[in-house]
Amino acid sequence: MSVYDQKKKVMGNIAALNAITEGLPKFKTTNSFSSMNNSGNSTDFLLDLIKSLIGYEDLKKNVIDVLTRKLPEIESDIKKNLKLQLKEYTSCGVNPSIPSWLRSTGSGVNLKLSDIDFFQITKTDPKSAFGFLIYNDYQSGLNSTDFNTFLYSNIEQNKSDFNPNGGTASPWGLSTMGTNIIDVKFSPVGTPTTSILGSTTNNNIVKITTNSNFDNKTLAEFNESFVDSIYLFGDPNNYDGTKIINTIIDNLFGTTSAQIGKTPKQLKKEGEINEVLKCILNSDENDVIDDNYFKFDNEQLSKIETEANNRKLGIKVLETCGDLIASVPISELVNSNNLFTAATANQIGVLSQGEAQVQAISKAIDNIAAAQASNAATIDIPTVKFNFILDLIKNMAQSIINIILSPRLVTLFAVNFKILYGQASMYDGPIDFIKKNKNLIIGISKVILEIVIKMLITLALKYISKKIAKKFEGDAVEQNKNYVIQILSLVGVSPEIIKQIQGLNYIGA
Amino acid sequence: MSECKPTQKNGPISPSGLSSISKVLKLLLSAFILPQKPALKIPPFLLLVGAELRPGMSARELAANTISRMESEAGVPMGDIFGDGPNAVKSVMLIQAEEQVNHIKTKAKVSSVIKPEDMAAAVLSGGVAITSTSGIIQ
Repeated sequence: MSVYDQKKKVMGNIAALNAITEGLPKFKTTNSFSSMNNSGNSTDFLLDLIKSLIGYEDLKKNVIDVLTRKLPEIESDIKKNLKLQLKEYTSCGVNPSIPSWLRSTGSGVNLKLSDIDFFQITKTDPKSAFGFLIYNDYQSGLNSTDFNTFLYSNIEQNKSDFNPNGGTASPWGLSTMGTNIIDVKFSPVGTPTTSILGSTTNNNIVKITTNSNFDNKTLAEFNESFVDSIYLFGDPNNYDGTKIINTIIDNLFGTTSAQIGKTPKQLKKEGEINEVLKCILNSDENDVIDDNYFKFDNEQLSKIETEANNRKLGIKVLETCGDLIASVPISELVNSNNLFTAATANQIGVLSQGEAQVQAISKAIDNIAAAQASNAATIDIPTVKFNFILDLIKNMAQSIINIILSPRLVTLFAVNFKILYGQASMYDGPIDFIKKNKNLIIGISKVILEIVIKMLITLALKYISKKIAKKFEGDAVEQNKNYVIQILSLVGVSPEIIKQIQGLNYIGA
Repeated sequence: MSECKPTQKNGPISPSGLSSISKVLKLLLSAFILPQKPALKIPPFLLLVGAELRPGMSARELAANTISRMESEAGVPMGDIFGDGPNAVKSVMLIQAEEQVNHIKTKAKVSSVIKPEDMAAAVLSGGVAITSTSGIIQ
């Protein structure tokens, strides 16, 4: 049976359950769902299914659950998978010890900053007005527990040293692991190279070597320690789901990007990364991720361009009765993050920290949902708000991957790439990077996607089983009623009276 | 450098395989597979007496009841629509009822069996076995 036929069967079963348990069907015709095709996109299909079963509040509760209680599980699953994938790298005939050129005294991995910072995170100062929307532990400089804040601080420290390969290296690892793992040095000016075309100098270079503590460790130990040293969603004692919301909102509306002045070219590049990630997330397990996943047709390019232009303006075009221009003001994001910070600092009062955080995220989602629906006609507001929750879920997996594909882990991926392909090997921008590290990216994509899908399936099954229980109850009543009715019909009770007992309120013939 | 580039390795296996649409659909469809309880038995002596009182199937009555409920409960207009002539849905209902009743009356076949112990009881009592039979409608 084709995927489309199976999808129709699921929808048909639910329509039948609805008809039996709630009277006549309120279900939309299955063809009106955009996911009713042979596509392998589980998230879209489950969202279509769920929107027929539950409403805004129930869906919001589950999103909050993911953004508050599930983050430790998500982080742990991602790290487990990353370690496995990196182990695969080192078990492919590569010397499992750290190459001498990567050690503290070696020439190290030298990359352009733009080759590890695809989303231009380090162009924003963590301590600036909107820095805290992007960075965790944004005030601790080189001692920060967020690698991105740490990297920015090294850049800031060395930005005025214009000697070739100038600047001072800073060690990373102590703040989160109690021991230093790598040394990072940003140099505004790299080493000049001479070729037949003349002399060229690559500027804004990041040099990475292992810290002397790790010179004699194996590559596997280095990888595992580095992965453990990275906090994806903030301090493990205070996981911060607001960064995921910030990333989703920025991806959808460009709220932060517009504010910090990202260029259309950069936004287009980000659009291309996200398009590739979407294709990977939508792929079925049996699909072969070939080169076509990393190329764009005209339709995709036009969509990427339009979305980049909209993000530059800080808007998203929503489809209601007509096109609706929606936006989320930066002040709304700032307020939402402040609410969460206050909850974490336990300034809310009688609530426990966990309850206060749940309440803060709930309020944040409500406020953002209301803000983006503010231009909608009154009649459309509930739909626009509900669609916003669906958009949050739809973009959750991709936004979490965006958080991973920041310097905090791209640095490690790049180091492993150089070990595997050779110190002089290069990749040409983020798309080529994803292509050359596709198994890593596919691995973590599937782990994150599964968490979202598990949430959606649990929700769907919860409501389907409620309906099935109701059907079972109804079946038993019907069976007993039928029995009584048959008995009555056999002892000569008139059909009209029997129909009254059956509850069939037709106008008798 | 290495003989085994990452692009040549097998794709990663997701922990539960739930990222695959076919597994998701299989899981959802399995939720609808439910056991059914057998129907309750009608006391045989009632069947013996009561079956005689039944009026028999009527296509007209079936159509009338259905049309009546379609209008009152489902809100489907069943009267003639101005300018459009006779209501086609109403005609469909009538045709369907007539065909169904006709089909059952002319083609249905009831096959049943009497359990051996009931047969033995009937023989021993020298009369009709007051018991039920098990069977199917074909």
